[in-house]
Amino acid sequence: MTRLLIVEDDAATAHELREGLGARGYDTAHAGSAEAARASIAESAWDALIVDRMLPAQDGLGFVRTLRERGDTVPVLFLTALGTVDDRIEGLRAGGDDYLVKPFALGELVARIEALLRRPAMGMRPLLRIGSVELDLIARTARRGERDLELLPREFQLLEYFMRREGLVVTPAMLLRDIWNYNFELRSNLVDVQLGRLRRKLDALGETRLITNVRGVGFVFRADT
Amino acid sequence: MFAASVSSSVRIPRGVWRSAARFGGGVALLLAIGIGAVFGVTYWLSTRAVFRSVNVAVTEQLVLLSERPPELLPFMIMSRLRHQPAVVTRVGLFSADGSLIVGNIERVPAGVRFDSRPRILRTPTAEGGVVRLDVAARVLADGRRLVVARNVEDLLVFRAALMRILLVSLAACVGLGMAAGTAYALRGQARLRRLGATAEHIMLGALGERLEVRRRPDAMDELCIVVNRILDRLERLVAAWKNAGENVAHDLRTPLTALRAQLERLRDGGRLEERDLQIVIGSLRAIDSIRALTTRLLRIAEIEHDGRRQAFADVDAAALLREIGGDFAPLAEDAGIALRVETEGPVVIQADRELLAEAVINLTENAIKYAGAGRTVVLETRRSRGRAVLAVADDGPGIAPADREQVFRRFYRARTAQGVPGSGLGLSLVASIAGHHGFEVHLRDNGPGCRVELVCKLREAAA
Repeated sequence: MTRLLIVEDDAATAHELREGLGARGYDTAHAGSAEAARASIAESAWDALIVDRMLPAQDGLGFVRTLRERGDTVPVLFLTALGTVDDRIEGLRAGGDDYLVKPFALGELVARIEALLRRPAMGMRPLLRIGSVELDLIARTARRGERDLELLPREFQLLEYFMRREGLVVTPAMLLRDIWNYNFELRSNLVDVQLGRLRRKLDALGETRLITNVRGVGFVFRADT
Repeated sequence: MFAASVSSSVRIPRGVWRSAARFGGGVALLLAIGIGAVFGVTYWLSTRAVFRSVNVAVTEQLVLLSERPPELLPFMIMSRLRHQPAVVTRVGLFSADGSLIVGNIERVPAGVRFDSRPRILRTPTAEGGVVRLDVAARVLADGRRLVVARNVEDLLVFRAALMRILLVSLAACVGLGMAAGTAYALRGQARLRRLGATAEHIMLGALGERLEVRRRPDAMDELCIVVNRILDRLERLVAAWKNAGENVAHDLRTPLTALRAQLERLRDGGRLEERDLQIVIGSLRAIDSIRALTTRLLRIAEIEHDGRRQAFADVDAAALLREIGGDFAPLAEDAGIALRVETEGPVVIQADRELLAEAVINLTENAIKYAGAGRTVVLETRRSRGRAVLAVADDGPGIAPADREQVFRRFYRARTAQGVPGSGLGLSLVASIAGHHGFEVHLRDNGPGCRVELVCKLREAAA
């Protein structure tokens, strides 16, 4: 079972996060301060930390920085109230692996944690094959079974991203950040429209849908064989 | 020398040169007048004194000799010439018909007047040259002519040399004064320009920068010290304000996190009736739109108040617009709108790429949202008189002239936007991004439709 330590000074928020994550099958514990968190880390091993940026006494940034200085590489997801550019950059510089702006959907939090726990396979092989889909990363061509897929560069990028995260939930915010390098929220449903195009090319009539919606959270790519 | 080093390190505009040169010319003129006056007085006084003493000596000798008994005069002249050759260089006693009786002047010099007054005459020498003599002469009671003269050639040469020295040093002083004055003015203006550039940086948000103060402060430096102290104060205040803002955001958003999680638990618990479920889903949506709104406001505040200029780099606006156009074309198509990109060649500008993308995306989203089905949206870059123009244009209903000024204000929504969901923050975000970059924003009538232009400096022109 995945063990998560929630470092958050607000008891109500911590309680709700534990409830929500518990219901999704995570083993969680709560630390109300950096000091308490250090004690919990010394006691047992954690798969990932969820750290509020603003903590009483030592703040989240300082806590993670000292953690990294000690050589601890446990994945850290920052929770932040600001969500400004500087805020994000500071968080990543301090050693955070990802960040989430409050308030957030639990589904988004879970997707981010899963992405942290299962880093994508970034092999150097020129061919990426999952199920019936085959990507030639050098020629930039894609096939599904015997069928050549005529993908635009952006669509190719999207498909590669999903294939490297097979079985993982990918949220629109993750796609905006990783595919488009946009760290801001869009008002339009750019991601849905682009994914719609890709899916229409990917799934011919009667074929299994490779990228499916995860209601209210995002999308997931699953191999068809 | 100094001026040369300045001009090689910074390119100085013609106007600056002109006013510096004018200042230098003024300095040189003043210097010339001053030095000319001093030298002139010196020259006049010293040469006059010398020549007066010569004149006095010549006159004295003439008077002295003419008052001697006439019969003794030849003898006296001879003995004087023998014993005191230095006092009176030349003496000549001539008979009434002009033949020499005694002395070392061969003949009466041409042009001499017998009025006892010394004057300078050019007389030919035995060697065929010309020598200038200070000559005084008189007719004695017995009709003989007495001539006393002193060779002043050496004095005249000395006076000419003095004059030459004076003129050369005057010219040198004028030249130096010109150069030094220009250099001084240029340095002063270069300093002003540096101060101006720093002040502009600070105004654009680089609150950590300070005005330069030299080791030995003058009045201007004292002023800079005061301004720097004000900036210290301001920086602390802004930091405190930002801190307070962070605390407020944290205190407001943390309970929302708990609330959202509770609502999600309700939604996913499966114990709600359909009507209640819809209420919960609506509440979740409301929380998300509050978050989007506050995030946007925080972003505008961050862009406007922080000097995020370290992210500035060369950006090809044409390539950026092509990329955004490519991404949003399917979205426009779904809305029944044709999205076109019109660029020709790279248009390189200095910008924070992500912020610039955010502004263009905002304008593109706006155009797609408000233009209406069947319309066309054009993303365009072009060069116009050394400037880059980025435009997002549509042929939709446009924005009424009365609304054009207002739409950049926060939360303002144009009348044509009524009934379409939106926060009224899109264009104000665009305006703050443009302001952050120092870009001009123009909202124009596209006849029909709306055309928003971002006008900025071309990178090539600046290099």
